[in-house]
Amino acid sequence: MRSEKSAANPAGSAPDRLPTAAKKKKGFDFFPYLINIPMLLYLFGVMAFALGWGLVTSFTNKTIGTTAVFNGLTNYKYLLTNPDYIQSIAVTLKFTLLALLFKLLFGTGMALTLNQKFPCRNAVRALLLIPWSLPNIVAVLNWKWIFSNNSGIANYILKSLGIVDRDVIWTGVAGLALIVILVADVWRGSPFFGISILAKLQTISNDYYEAAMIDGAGPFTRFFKITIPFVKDTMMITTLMSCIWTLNSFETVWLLTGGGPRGATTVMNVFSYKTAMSQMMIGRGLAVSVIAMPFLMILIQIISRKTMKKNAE
Amino acid sequence: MKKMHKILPVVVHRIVLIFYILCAALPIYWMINTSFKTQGEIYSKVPTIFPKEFVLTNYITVLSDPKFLIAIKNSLMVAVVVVFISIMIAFPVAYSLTRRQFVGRRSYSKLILFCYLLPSSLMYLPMYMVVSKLGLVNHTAALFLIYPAFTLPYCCWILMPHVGAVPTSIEEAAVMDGCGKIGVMYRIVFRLALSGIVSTAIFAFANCWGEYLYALVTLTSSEQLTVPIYLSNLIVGDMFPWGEIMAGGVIACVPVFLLYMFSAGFLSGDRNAGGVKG
Amino acid sequence: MKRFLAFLLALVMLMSLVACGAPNKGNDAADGGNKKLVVWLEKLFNDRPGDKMAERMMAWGDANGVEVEVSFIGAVDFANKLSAAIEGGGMPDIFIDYQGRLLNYYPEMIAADVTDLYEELDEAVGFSDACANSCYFEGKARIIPMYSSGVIMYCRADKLQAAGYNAPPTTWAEVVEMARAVSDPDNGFFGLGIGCGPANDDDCYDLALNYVTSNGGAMFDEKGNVTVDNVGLRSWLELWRDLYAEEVIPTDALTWDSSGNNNTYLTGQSCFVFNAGTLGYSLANDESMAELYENTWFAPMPAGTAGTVIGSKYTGFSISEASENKELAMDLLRYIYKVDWLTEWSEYTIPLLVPAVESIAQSEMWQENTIGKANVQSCMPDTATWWGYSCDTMEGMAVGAKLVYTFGMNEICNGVASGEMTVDEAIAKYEALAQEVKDNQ
Repeated sequence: MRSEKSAANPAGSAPDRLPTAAKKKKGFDFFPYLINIPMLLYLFGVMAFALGWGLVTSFTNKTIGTTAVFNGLTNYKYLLTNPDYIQSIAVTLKFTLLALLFKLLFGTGMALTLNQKFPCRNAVRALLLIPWSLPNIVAVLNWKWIFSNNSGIANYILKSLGIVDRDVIWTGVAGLALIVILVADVWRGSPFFGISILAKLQTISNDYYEAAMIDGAGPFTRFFKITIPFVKDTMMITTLMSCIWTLNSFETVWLLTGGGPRGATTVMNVFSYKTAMSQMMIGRGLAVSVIAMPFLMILIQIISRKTMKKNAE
Repeated sequence: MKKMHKILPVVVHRIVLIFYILCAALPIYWMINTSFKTQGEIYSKVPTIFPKEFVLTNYITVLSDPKFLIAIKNSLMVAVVVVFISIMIAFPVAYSLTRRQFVGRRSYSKLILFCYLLPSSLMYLPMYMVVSKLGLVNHTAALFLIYPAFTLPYCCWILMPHVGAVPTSIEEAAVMDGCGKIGVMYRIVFRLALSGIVSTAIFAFANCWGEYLYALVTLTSSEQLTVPIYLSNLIVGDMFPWGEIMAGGVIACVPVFLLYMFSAGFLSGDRNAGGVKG
Repeated sequence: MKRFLAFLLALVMLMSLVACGAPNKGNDAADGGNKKLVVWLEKLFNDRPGDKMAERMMAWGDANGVEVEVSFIGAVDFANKLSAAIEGGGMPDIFIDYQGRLLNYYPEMIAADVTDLYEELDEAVGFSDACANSCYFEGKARIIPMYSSGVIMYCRADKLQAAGYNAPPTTWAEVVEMARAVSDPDNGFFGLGIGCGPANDDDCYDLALNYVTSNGGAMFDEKGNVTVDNVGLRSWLELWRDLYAEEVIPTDALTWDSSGNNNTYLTGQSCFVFNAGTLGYSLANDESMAELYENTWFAPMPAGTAGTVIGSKYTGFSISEASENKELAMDLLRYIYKVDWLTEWSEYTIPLLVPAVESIAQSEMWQENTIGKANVQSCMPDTATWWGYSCDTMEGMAVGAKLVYTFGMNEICNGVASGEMTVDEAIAKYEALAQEVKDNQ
């Protein structure tokens, strides 16, 4: 009985009916509001100010230290007609999509692999988590060093294997520079997917798999018919999170390629930083990010609708 | 034939496992390798897979710097406190979003994610202004206020499916036994979702541990610095003391590694099964 | 469970208290008042000079009943912190400053007018003539000069000698000739190690300016109008284009950030490199680099057709306009600027930070140190300074300073070298950029 209900809502969701105790109560259920107070305090106390300031200032010509003067859509007009900005959007899309794809693939594989029992499992799990737990600066500098042009180990390996005979200039060729930042980002981000999905995988009772095996289902069928439905929601949420974080990522690109050979790896964030930093033009720099806001909001909307739908009454 | 059937999946599994281990370990090995070399050897045209001259100078320099130890203390403190605050705030939010229906539930869940709309490379300015108004500039405590900006949304959202996976029948049972609403939330659901909570907490910890820009802007004096800033301060202008940076980096990833090893028990995933016997 | 939560709560509260308590421990107000000075210094190549400076400042504080709080901030991060402080409050009373930094905030002037103090201290200790260029803005002194980290030329003596040259080049023409002579790209050795990577704020723009001005060009005229299209810049871009094509400049130079030219010299990839003394310091003090150090000539910057027209930016102290303790800050600075102490301090900074005080820079200590001597020579002024372009107007100078962080020069050098832009296109682009920066002010 129980397992049937759980199977119907594999991701777990609000029940079709509220717990009986609550149903007995008449009147307004204050509980959810009360427990959300700390969060609301933070959202409206701190975040609202920060976001509001950012939004308003993007419509001004503010530079550091000067008073802001409202200039309407000037910043936006400038940006949308600026070929460098358009390029940065294209680069951002390319980078984010590729990064997410690989992180999802590697992460899922990692989760599946770690879900089995094998010797030293805990140690291996901890090892696979290190890429995520390194301070980002350290990891990025490490990659910078690895892909260094003349004394980097990457070039050394390639030359020793005879694949190339002169040093590859990783950050000097558009395609290669993209690979460099992808490697750094995917290496760092996969464990996030891995561990999140793993945590979910471990809540799937073995009974399902055993039953399926008895029925003669092969490993792929088991994966697609049992595993995927269970972890789908986690995957989506993790991907959304990772998407937002990848879009927000700055240090990785800036320290590795500085925006890449002639703008080839200038993701939106790097572009906004350069704009804000050069001539201290905060107003315009903020406009760069504000333009992206509607898209982010749509993204959030889509994913949340999919996951929250299950929770609707 | 039967044996093949049994061995093949295991072999495949092991191969994939080794692949993952190598992917994670090799760059880390390179980092550790570099940390034991002299600067001369680091810059040599032909990189050495194993240090020709194995030196501990980099570690000694870093560890004997009192500022480094202070930075570690600060980073630990900030991470622990922020993670605690985040889980304490986010868990009820996740609970209410999955278990209760209330006005504006859907919009609220999206609103939480709006914290991520501005990247830190721009948001540091208004955040600094907030902190400055409260007189918390150059105090590590300021980070208690700033870091939740990126840990809270994540914690809320990732906890939702974990909390949701706890069958409501258990709650009903507890309520019938006379347990109050808060009690149900914390004693029952929290416990059963613990594996998810722990993994979320560890990620939040790692994020706080490695955060750079907000800490940089808010903290100035060396008593308040956190580890990433300390490491970045090793770089003076255009000279990158790779050996020391890597040594510091290796030391910096130890705490999270340990944390994960010790909490592995929580994540073995059998807790849920325990709750619904009978 | 309850106990566990209670324990966690207690732990968190304890840590919060520690966090909030710790800073207060060190902030006990000095006796008899709450006078406090906040000083932001830049992290130097070595902690010792910085610590000595902090010591001196705190000694003054103790003697005068003022609490002095000294912090060290990395050079790269300084701009971010300063910007945040300008916006959100919390500006330090005294901070390390140089012309370029100050001008990037133009038209906002964040440093107070210290002309009287400058003149007073000049009388007392004697600043080099070069300093005035770096410290005066439209007739008012805003910075009290302390030191200059001059850029010098590093030369691979062994390679040059093997090619038959027995002394470092003294003009740009000689540099180019020698670089061509020693270049051996097939064996991974290149003549001229200069970079123009996208985030390089080190040797790309500065070097271009040096070349252009020493060859008689100017990026701006006295009134601040854009005169980017000049013979100097054209020949610089042509140099990039030609030398890169001939593989005299390393192939990966287009990706170098500010550490690129250091790396290229340290790995033995390039013959000529232009950098501040930090590189030399590293060579001199690291045993594992002894061989390279032995094989290096340290020379001052080469001259152009119009002579040696170079200048180095003098870094010093500014008192922030927002400070409420300006008089107090000036007193502190008076205590720092005593020749005896400055000479003593200079022992910690040799050979990198050329002292602003002329007598010390010309003293035996500096003149007998190979790197030091080259450095001092590179800091002697003649006419132009890095950022000034011999502009009469601060507006023009500000445009020059702001152009650094547009990384525009990097882009056009990059474009020309890689063949994606012709020299004409590059000049046009840079002209447009400079004009845009000017218009945006």
